Amino acid sequence: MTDASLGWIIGILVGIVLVVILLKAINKNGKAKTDYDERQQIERGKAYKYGFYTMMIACVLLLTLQIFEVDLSTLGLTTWFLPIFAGIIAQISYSIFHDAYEGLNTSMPRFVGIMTGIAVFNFAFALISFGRIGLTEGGILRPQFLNLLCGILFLIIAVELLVKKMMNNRGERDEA
Amino acid sequence: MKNLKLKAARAGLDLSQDDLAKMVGVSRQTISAVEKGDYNPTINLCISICKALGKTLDELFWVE
Repeated sequence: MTDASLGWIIGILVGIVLVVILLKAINKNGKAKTDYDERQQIERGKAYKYGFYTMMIACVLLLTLQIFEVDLSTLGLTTWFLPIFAGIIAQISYSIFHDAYEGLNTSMPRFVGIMTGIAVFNFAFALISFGRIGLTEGGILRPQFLNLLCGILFLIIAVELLVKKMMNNRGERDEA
Repeated sequence: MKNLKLKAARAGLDLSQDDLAKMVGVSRQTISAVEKGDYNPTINLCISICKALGKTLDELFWVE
């Protein structure tokens, strides 16, 4: 086992522990599991379905590009993550716009605070890395480019949450 | 189809959608979706809503 592969495995394990700790911090009752009501569970099921389809379509697109001999080698590790990011965005977007993203026990101020922190960390880490060692190595995107993608992902979530909140506020005024 | 009987019963008790949602353990948006007819609740949620508003299933959910 190389140092890089050992680092990757440790990184994944630390990531899992970190996710559990952050979920406990975000949820009001200190549980790692987020609770959803029956409508939200149905909508989230649809969201995962669309996320899965999106990921499959993105994989087929990448495969098609490779079959047509489009050079994707410059993307490096990013190639593997593009379909995952596409699927995550589809799943989260559907959940947000169908009021199934915020759980019954979710503290949104804590959620937004933690997510903003993670986004800022990712942007800062990516930009500092690019400034010190550059965006590419041997013509291939560095793995740090994934931090930039993560930052963009969190930015998209933040914008969608903001838009949805404005839509809900307008809806509440109409219903009142 | 909008559930105006539910909306009227809730308003009759001076409860907001958020108040009712908390009483029955769902999100405010779910109560809104039930009132607008965008979501058909399960029988369990119907019963919880009826108990919270002091009404029967027929009074709130029966459609002639």
